[in-house]
Parts: sequence; structure tokens; C-alpha cells
Amino acid sequence: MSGAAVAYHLRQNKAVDRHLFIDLLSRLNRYTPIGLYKYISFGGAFLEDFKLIHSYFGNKKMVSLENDSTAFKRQSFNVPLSCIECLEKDSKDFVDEFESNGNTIVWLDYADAGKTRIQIQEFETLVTKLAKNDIIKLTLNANPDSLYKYTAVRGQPRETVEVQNQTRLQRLTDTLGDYLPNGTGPDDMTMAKLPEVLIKVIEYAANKAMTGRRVEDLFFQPLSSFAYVDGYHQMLTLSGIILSKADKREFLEKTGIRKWGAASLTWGSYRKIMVPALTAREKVFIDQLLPKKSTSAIHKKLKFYFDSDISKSSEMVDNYRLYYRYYPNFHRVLF
Amino acid sequence: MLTRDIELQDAILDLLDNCVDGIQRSHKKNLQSEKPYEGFWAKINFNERKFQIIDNCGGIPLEIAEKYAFMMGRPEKSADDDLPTVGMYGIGMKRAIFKMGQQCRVVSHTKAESFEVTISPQWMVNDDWNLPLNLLEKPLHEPGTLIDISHIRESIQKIFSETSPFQKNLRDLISQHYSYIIEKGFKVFVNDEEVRVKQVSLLWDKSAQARLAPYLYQANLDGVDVKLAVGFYTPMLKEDELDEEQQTRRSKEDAGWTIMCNDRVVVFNDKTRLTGWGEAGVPNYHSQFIGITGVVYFQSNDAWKLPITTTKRGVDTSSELYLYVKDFMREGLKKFTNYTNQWKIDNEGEKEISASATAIKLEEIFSIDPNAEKEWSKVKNRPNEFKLNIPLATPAQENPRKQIKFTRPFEEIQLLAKYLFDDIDAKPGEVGEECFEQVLKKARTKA
Repeated sequence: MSGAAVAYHLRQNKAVDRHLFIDLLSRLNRYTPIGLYKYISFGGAFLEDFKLIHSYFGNKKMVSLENDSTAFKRQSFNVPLSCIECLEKDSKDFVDEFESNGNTIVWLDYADAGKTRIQIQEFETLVTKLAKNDIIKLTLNANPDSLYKYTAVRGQPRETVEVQNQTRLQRLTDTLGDYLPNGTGPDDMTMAKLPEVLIKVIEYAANKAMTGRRVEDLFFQPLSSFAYVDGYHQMLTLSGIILSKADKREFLEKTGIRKWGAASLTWGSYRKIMVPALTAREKVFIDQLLPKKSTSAIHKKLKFYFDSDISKSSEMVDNYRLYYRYYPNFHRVLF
Repeated sequence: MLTRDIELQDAILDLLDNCVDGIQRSHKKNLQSEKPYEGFWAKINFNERKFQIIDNCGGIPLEIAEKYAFMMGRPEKSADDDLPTVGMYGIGMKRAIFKMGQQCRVVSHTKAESFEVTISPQWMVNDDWNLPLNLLEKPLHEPGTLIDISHIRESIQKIFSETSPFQKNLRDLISQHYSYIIEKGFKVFVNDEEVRVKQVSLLWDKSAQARLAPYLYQANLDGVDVKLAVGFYTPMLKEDELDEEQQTRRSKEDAGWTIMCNDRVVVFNDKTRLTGWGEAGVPNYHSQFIGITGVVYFQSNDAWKLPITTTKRGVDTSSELYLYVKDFMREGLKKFTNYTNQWKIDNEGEKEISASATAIKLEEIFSIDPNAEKEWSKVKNRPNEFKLNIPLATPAQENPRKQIKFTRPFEEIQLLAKYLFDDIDAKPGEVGEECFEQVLKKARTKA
């Protein structure tokens, strides 16, 4: 993607990810009453996800966590619904104190790149405490450049990708230690492969968390996994549900989740969200051609590409054709 | 980890030990070569219904099968007396099979003959140890052994299930315990994925005078070859890294002592009294020593001389050989704990030293011939005992450094961080240091 095409202020890919989560929940709603769940997440100043969840499912128990006191005051000012409880609390303390009563949806929406191990450990601790049919979503930074990025040193030759990837692997090994999958190599330190490594790490943490629950016959069922780039960082999100082995068949039948195009029901793979940032005119134009027209037909009618690299432009339009229903509309609104 | 999982892991390692014994038995001549295990593999596959291990390691000779392999326990005198094996067929195999399931088929294919033994659930509960053994015509593609276990026990089914962390744990364990054997050419697959090993390296600066170098010891003691190396595998931690380490226990695994007997790891990264930590003047293990790692390697054609316990998963602490070598382990360890303590007040000075050192692979360190090296010395003037014990760099004596440590409210640190660096996320250490430097400059101009 060339820099000019990135809408840094709009974050359309994150918006698609958020809407896909709503889509996922509405499928799960056929199996378990989502509206009765307590929703816990890091709302930030805008509490966007709280508004969405409430409008779709009418959840009445909602908790937003914020550890920064300045942001917390702003969040408290902006709180859009009276049923949202804002807590000035660190995610670590929240996880340590968490006690399950009634079903819960938790979204650990981490942004900090350097703390992956702490984040994974919090996730693992939380999963040990979750109840049957609880839903959890995890967001992690999956950007190789966050591990290490070459900066030019005057008088020294430029580092090759190979050398950089070696340093990245060393950093990741130092951070994750025993969570790292056996056989992870420098070749895995790329935009495409790093999310796969992290998914294996999450798989291990989730399965480890569930060993104490063998008696209850519970397991962690992954449901969806996406990687997207917004601005500079690549993020990975993974959602899953705590299921009883005996209920698995009924769960799959009732939710029809296997037919959902965005599902990732086994560990290892993820889907990329990389919709182009469209002008209102482009969006309306392409939507008129959907869902029938092919990517090449759309390009032909548009008479231009979104990237000088035609294959990249095709990938973006392909991706838009998959996710156009979740594409956010940004408008200027006057109150 | 649950005890049951650990017992199960040991059972699988027992079976893998038998594979390696097979190589050592059927390829006596090659064992001294650089890659004696090249071309040999073992494949482990399991799910909730079955467990299978298959290898191409030569198979179980009929004679051993009839006399030992399917007996409970193993007579003291055996066919492998002059080989460096540590396997004890009967015990290991029976224990492993019994642990996992109730039905089993063992197929062996050697160059001379092939046979099959089937163990049924009835036999498992019987006192009759006799097992019918059927001769077969070349059942496998190449000489090797196949063990198929079914009727998996209910408790084991859950561990073998896809949703258990066991697969990764087993892969990690194999990569730790067979690191040396895998490096020497052996391949192990767990559910079709090859197990990879991390190579151990120690930091060594061969250029300067007082410097960073591992402590090494080599000897032949009563028919046992001993090689020992201890040093830093990674530079010392800085203060803030140490704090994080204590909170998240991130990579403790790589520190400590590893003991190998005939290529097999019997103790992995131990940080207790077993290997000399916390006794005779050596401090207890602490996160600040996270960079220290040591390896002791024992090899002998007479397996009974090796300091291993009967379970093969531990070192025999009453072995005189081990107690003797342990003195050197402690001497080496002490050297690096002292170094850490001396340098912790001068992190930057230490960084310079460790940055100029290179990571030397253990393989290379163990292949040094002490006779050809000037810096090695004979231990107590004995002809076959050598050590390398070069003084390590010490912090400068004149104008020594002292540490300043204090705490302040976070808001005040942020205020200063913004003021000094225009970045409220600057580290408290950086802020403190800059404050010191500015006042120091002022003080100097006034003086």
C-alpha cells in the first residue's frame, strides 16, 4: 500500500474488524443469549464498541477499563449509556480480581507492542477463570517492525532483511520465552508469518489455561482471527468461546458458524482485512456493482487502480468485496 | 504442569531412548563419527484413540526380545555391556505402554529377522509374563521398530487431545533432552512436525587480556570422558530488564546446568543445590544470574560408570564421579556469579565487554584439544585433567562507580521527562541520569 492511500484518521480496517465481531456475536446469539452477557472491554474515549454491542444486543451490564487517569476522566465524560460502568483500572488488576458470575464477553484490546508476554499471561489467567460459553477476544500487535527496525548508522553498511529478522527473532524469543513454538525461525518474522506464530502462542496459552478444566470437559474453541494494518501497525485479533466438549456439535449446528465466510475454527490460519480507503463516490460506485461483479470487472469500470502494484490493488478490491457490508461510512455530522 | 503429564512425557522419552539404543546397537562402528545419528529418525504420532512410534533405528534383535525386551525388568548382564546405551528395555517399554493404553502391537525388523508381539488388555492384568512372538517377513521398509498403542486410557485421551498443550510441551521437552543427539543428525517428528533444537553458545572474547571467557574443564576419569563448560549465553540484564523478568518470568528456562550422559540430557537447566547453586559459597539462583548457563558431558562405553539414576532422568548425587566433578561446576559457577555481582553497578562498562565477545557454539568448545592450547592448565599436574580458568574483566579500581537509587512520584518524573526530553514516556532512569548530569556540569563550572 502506498502511503498516500492510507487514511490514517479513519481506521477503516479496525472498523471492519469491529463489525465482524458483531457479526460473529449475532451468530453466537442463536446458541446463547448474547444480550444477557456482561460486556467488558477497554472503551477508550469514544466507547465505540460499547455503543455497537448495546445497539445490536441491548446488553445492560457493561464495564469499561482504563488505566490512564486523564483518559479515564474523558471517558467518564463521554460515557454514552447509563449502563456502562467506567473503572480506572489496569488490565492486570482486572484479570487478577476477576470473578465469574454470569456469562461474560471480554475484549482484551491491547495496543502496547513491547508487552506481548504480559498480555499473553493476562489472557491465560483470564481464560482459567472464564465460565462455560464465555466469549473472549484478544488484540495483539503483530508488527515485525515493532520487534526491531533498522535505523541507518552513518558509515556502516545497511543491514539486510536477513540480519534484521535474526534480531527480531532474538527479541521475540527474549519476550515470549517458553511460549514460543518450537522451530520458530527468522523467516517467520514477516508481516504475513508473524501473526501465525502469535496464533500458535495464543493456542498454547489457551490450551494451557484449560488443563485445569479437564474435569469440566471444557475447551477453548477459536472462532475467528484477523490481521489488519491501520496506519503503521499490524494488529492481530482472535476470538474464541469456552465450550463443553459435549455441546460442540449443538454449538456448530445452531450457530451455523461453519458457513460463516469469516470464521477460523481451527488454530493456525487468519484472514487479512485490507479494504482500501474509499471516497464516498468510489464506495457508492463499487457498491452498485456488488455483489455480482468480479474484481477485474470493477477495475475495468473504475479505470484506475488503488496501488501502482496491480496485484496489490486487486487484493484490496478482493478484500473489499468480502467485507463491504462491514465498511464504515464516515460523514461529517452537525449537531 | 500436572504430574500425570510429566509421567506421560517420561514414558514417551523412554520409548525414544529405545530408538537411540537401537542405533547404538546396530551401528557400533559409526558412533565416534561427527554425525553418528545422521539418517536415523523416529516419528511419534498420537491422538485421542491411538499412540504410535516408528523408527528406522535397526529394530530389536530377536535374542534381546526373547530374553530381555518383553521381560519385566532386565537382568544385570546383557548383550549391550560394551555399548554406550542407557536404555533398559523391559522396564521402559512396559512402563510406557502400560501408562498410555491397554492394547499394543510391537513390530521389529532387523537385518537378520522380523517379528511381532501383540499385548492384549487381558495380558496387561495377568501375572503370566509369556508373550507369543510371531516371526514375520520384512514388515517395515527398513530395519526399525513400530509400536502401536490403542485402547488409550481415559485420562490420557484428554492429554492427547488436540485442545491440550501437550503437543508443544512434548516437542519442547524432546528438543531439550535430545538436543545433542538431534544436532548429531537424529530426526524426531511429533505429529508430522519436525522437532528443532536451539544450539547452546557461550560468549567468548578471545582478543583482549582480562575479558569474558567461559570456564572449561576436560578429563578422563576412570574410563569416563568428562567435558564441562560454563559461562554467559546472553549479556547481563539491565536494571529495568531485571524488573520485567521478575514480573513475567520470561526466559528463565535457558539458565542453569544441563547434564548429559552418553549424548542424552539427564538434567536440564537446573538451578538448585543438585548442581551446586546455593552451596559452598555459591549464591542461590536469582534472576540476575539469568545469563549463566553450564553444560557437563559424561561419556563412557560402560553405562554403569555414568552418574545417572536408575530412572535415567536424573543425576546420581551419591556418585563419587559426580561429586568430584561438582567441585569444578561450583568453581566455574562462582566465577560468573562474582562477575555479575561486581559489574551490576557498572552496566555500561559490562555492555562494552560482552558486546566485544562472540557466541561460540558448545560443539566447538567441546572439540577443543587442551593439549594443543597454551592457556589451559593441568589440574593438580595430572596428565589427563585440564581446565581453562582465565581471569575475567573487573571494573576499574581507581574512581570506582557507585549506584544511586531513589523513588519519586510518577507524576513528577513525567513532568521532568516532558521538560527534559519532551517525551513523557522517557524511562525514569534516563530522567534521573540527565538531572544528575546537568547538576554535575553546574557544580564543575563553579568549582
